[in-house]
Amino acid sequence: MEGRSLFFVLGRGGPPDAAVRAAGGQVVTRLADPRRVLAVAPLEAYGGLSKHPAVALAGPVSIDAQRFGSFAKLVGLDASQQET
Amino acid sequence: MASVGQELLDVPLPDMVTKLALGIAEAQRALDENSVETAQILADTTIEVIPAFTQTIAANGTITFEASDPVEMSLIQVGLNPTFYQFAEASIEVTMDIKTTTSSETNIKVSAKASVGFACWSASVRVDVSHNRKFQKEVRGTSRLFTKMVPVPPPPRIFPEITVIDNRVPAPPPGP
Repeated sequence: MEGRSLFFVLGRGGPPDAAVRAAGGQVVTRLADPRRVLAVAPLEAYGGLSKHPAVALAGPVSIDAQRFGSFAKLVGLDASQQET
Repeated sequence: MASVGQELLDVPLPDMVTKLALGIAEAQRALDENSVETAQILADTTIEVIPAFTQTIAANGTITFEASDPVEMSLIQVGLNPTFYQFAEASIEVTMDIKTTTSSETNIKVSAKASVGFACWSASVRVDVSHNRKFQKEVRGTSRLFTKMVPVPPPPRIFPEITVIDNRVPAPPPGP
C-alpha cells in the first residue's frame, strides 16, 4: 500500500491524537465527541493504527464527491451560492 | 544424494499457495469487517448543521443575523464513505541456491622390507590403501510473498439513497 489516506479514528477512552501521531499521521478534523477524529496518515500505518491500544477503531474513509456536493450546497458552501 | 531437479520438485509450492490464499481470505474478511464497522460508526456520528442564515439590514443600517434551527446529519449523509480495499494481485517468488560438491581422495602407501642372513632370507611388502569420498550439498532457499491491494467502490446497497428536499424560501432579489 502506498500513499496517504483519510482515516476515521475512534479513540478508546480518550482522544486518539497520540496514536495518530505515533503512526505518522495528523488529525485534520475534530468532531463534537473528542474521541472521534478524522486523520490523514500513511496507508502503511493502517494495521498499526487499528491495533494501537488507545484506538477502538480506525478505518480508511473517502469523500463521496456527489454527496459532499449536496451537503455543501445545503449549507451554502458551494461556489454557486458564493456568487449570488 | 538427491538431484537438483528433485530438490526443486520438493519445494512445497502447493502448501505455500494454499497458505497464501487462506491468508488473503482471512485478511480480506478482516478488512471488510473493519470497513462495515467504520460505516456503522460514520452513520452513528452526527454533526449539527445550520442549513441557513438570514441576514437582515435594517433601515438604520444595523445588521442582524438569524440562524435556522440546526439539523443533525450523519457523516455518511455529509459524504464520508468507508473505503473498501480488495486484494488485486498476489504472487510467490521462490529462490533456491543449490550447491553440490563431490571430492575423492586415494592414498596408497607401499613399503618393502627385505633381510638376508645366514642360510635364510625374508622379505615383506606392505601396502596401505585408503580411499575417501566426500559429498557436500548446500541448499539455501528464500521465498517472498507479494500482495497488491486496491480500493474498490463500496457495495452499492450499503448506503441508503438520500434525497434532499430544500423548502427554503428563495431570498428576494436585491433592490435597486
